[in-house]
Amino acid sequence: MLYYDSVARTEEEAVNLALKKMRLDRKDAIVRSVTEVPEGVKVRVEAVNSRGREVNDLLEELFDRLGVKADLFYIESFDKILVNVSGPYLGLIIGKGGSTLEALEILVSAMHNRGYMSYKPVVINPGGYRENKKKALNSLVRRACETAATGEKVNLPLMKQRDRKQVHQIIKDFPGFRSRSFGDGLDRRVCIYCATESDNAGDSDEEETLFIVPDQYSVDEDVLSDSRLAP
Amino acid sequence: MFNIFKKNNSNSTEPENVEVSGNIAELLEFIVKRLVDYPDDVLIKEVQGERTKVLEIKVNDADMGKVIGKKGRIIKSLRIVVRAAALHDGQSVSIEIVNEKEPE
Repeated sequence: MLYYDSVARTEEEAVNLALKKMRLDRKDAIVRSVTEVPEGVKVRVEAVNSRGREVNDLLEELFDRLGVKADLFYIESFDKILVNVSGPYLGLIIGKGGSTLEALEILVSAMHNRGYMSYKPVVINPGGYRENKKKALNSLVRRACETAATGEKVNLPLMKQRDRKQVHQIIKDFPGFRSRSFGDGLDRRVCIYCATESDNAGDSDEEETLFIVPDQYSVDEDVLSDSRLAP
Repeated sequence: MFNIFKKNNSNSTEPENVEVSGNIAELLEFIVKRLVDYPDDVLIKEVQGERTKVLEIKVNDADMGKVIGKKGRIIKSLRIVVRAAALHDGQSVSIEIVNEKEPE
């Protein structure tokens, strides 16, 4: 059962906080317990109308119409609904390079989220496809790093946004290497290079602008300490 | 190597667990009706062309945006999914929205 404990000054605030965290509407949740704690009120909110169940039924009917026989198993979490699909023939719902899978996710998310206040994306994982994709990306990055070690910049093939993001995360396990995305729109690809090289133009998917922030912080701290000293 | 070739070959022949789905138009109707606010106004018309079948969608004018989506996201996905299902049947289909009113 999906539940969330939250603490706030009033009961209402705590309930709203929990609903926001779970991305649920009020009608889909019940307050299980209310306890007084030193900080205010602690409530436990439980989901009653499972959105995962709904997605499961929707996908079952859709697959039936697509002509795919598969077993579904859903896991509902605060920020998404993951549906694991197992069956002997899943190529039809994955498509070339995962294109059909991506389209299916967009459609099912749109179909399911209609009528809900909060948006919860649906993620479909047919036959461990996501895990395999991650493994494939991992070896791709490892090979690219081997080449990049010679000082060369390595451009990876065109990838979808989700895969690019994953590459940026994987590269953190390879110390001494960096990744950046170049290009616009559909023609956007990741470039892997040695960290010693100077960072040229090009914008990134990642939060590289954050490095500018410390200067501002130090200024703020000075102002703060001054104001503390003043009175 | 010969073995690999053989294995691939047997995989590509008709898989037993996939049945040829009844009607592509019904699949399209099922999806579109769950996307819009006025499901009763959804009309799907099949027009048989020379080679391809054209599925014309007509929805309530207020639902145009729901079917098309931001930057055509939904209609693009709709085309991919329906085409994949149709291709599996050995058909070739295209989808069009035929509302008179042009979206602004």
